[in-house]
Amino acid sequence: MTEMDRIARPDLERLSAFLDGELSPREAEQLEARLATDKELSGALAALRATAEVVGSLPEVRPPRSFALTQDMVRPRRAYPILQLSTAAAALGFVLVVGADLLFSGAANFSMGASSEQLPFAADQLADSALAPSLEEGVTESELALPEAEAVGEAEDGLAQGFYRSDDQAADAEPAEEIAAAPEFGSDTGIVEESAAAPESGGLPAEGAAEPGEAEFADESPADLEALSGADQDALKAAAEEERLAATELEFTDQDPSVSLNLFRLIEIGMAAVLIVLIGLTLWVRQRG
Amino acid sequence: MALIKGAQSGDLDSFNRLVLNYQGLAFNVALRIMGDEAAAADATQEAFISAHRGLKRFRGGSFRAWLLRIVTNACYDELRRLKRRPAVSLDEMTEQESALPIASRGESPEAAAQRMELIQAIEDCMLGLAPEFRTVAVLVDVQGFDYQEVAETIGKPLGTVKSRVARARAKLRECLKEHGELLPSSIRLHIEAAT
Repeated sequence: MTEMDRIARPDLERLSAFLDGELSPREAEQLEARLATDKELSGALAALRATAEVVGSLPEVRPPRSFALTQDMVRPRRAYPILQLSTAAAALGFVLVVGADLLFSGAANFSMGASSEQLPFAADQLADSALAPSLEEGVTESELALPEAEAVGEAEDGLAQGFYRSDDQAADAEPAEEIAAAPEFGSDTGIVEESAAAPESGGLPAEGAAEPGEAEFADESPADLEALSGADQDALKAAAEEERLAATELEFTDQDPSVSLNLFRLIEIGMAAVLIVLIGLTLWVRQRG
Repeated sequence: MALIKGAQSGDLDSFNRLVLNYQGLAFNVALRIMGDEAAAADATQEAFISAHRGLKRFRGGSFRAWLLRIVTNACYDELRRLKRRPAVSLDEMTEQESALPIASRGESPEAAAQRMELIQAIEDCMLGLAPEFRTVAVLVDVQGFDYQEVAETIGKPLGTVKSRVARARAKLRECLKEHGELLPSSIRLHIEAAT
C-alpha cells in the first residue's frame, strides 16, 4: 500500500483542494485543525505540495513556429460538402435500385409462381384426357399421333402428379419433391426443361401417371386409329399448335424478367463501385481537413 | 474583447492577433498532453483552425478556457489518431522530447543534465496518466489555472475537477518516487523534500 493509498479519497481531495486554495474558509479551518494533530494527514499534504511543485517546474517551451492562419487555411472547404452530397445521393440511388430489383424480382417470382400454378390444372386436364379410356373423340389417340404433344402432356402430367403427391405422400415422394421444387428455382426455362425431362429422368410420378394411359393406348387397335376422321385430326393438330404456342409463351415470359434482372445486377454493381469510391474520397478529404 | 468581436465579424488579422496572444499557452498545454513537439504543433494548428471556424459560437465567458477546450479536444483527436496508426511510439516521442535543447543561463553541464533528467522523469510520469488526468494536472500544476476555469475548459463540474486533480497528484507522486530512486541524489532530495 502506498502512502497515498493510506489516505481516504475524500481527505485526499480536501488536501489537494486546500493546497490550491479551493476550499471554503470553514472547510479550510476544519482541515487545518486536523492537520495539527494528524501526522499522516500532514505528511500527505507535504507530499502533494512537493509533487505539485515538481510538476510545476516543467519549463515553458517556445512554440516552434507561428500558428497564425493564412487565407488558404480559412478558405471554406467546398469539395467536402459536394462530396458528402454526392455520396448521400449515390447511397440513396443504390438503395432505390436494390429496392426496385427486389420489387421486380419478387414480381417475377410471383408471375413464375402463377405460371407454374397453372400447370397442374392444365396438365390435369390433359391427364384426364390421357387417362380417360372412354373418351369418344379419340383424344388419347392424339397423343400417339403427336409425339410432341404427348411429351408435354406427360411432362405436365408428371409435374401435376408430382405436386399432388408431394403434398399427399411426402414420405416417399423424393422425385416428386424435385419436380415440385423446380418452379421455385429461378428461370422458367428450367421449368420447361424439367417438364420435358421429367418423363425421361425417371420421375416416378410422371411414369406412374403416364403408364395407365399408355396401357389404354395399347388396347386400341390400328383399325380404330385409322377410323379417325380428317376433322378429328385437324382438331388435334390445332390443339397441339395451341400447346406449342403456350410453351413458347411460357419461355418468353421466363426470359424477359431474367434479362431485366441481369440489368439490375449490372447497375447495382456499378453503383456500388461508385459509392465505394465516393465514400473513400469523402473520408480522405475529411481526414486532410 | 475587441479582437474577438473583430475576428467574429470575419477579420482574419484580428483573429491572428488572438493567435499570437494565445499560441504559447496553447502549444505548451498541447505539448504536455501530447508529449511530442511535432504532434503538439499539429494539434495546436488544428485547434486554431477549428477555433476560427467556430468563433461565431463563442458567446462570452473565458476565451482562454474556450480556446483551451478546443486545444485539448484536438489533442485527444490526435492521440486517438496516433493510437490507431502509431507511426511513432510513445517511447520515441518521449525520447525526442528529452533530446530538445533546453536553454540554460550560467548553468553547469552537470546541473543541466540533472535538470534534464528531472524533466524527463516528470514527462514520463505525466504520460503515464490517462489523458483526462494529465489535462487537469497540466492546467492546474503547470499552467496555474483555478478549478473553475479548468471546469470550463474540460466541460466538467467542479467536483470532477477536484477529484481528478487529487488523483492525478497522487499517481504522479508514486511515479516520481519510483523514478527518484534512479535519479541523482540532489534531484531525489528535491522530489522527497517534504516527506
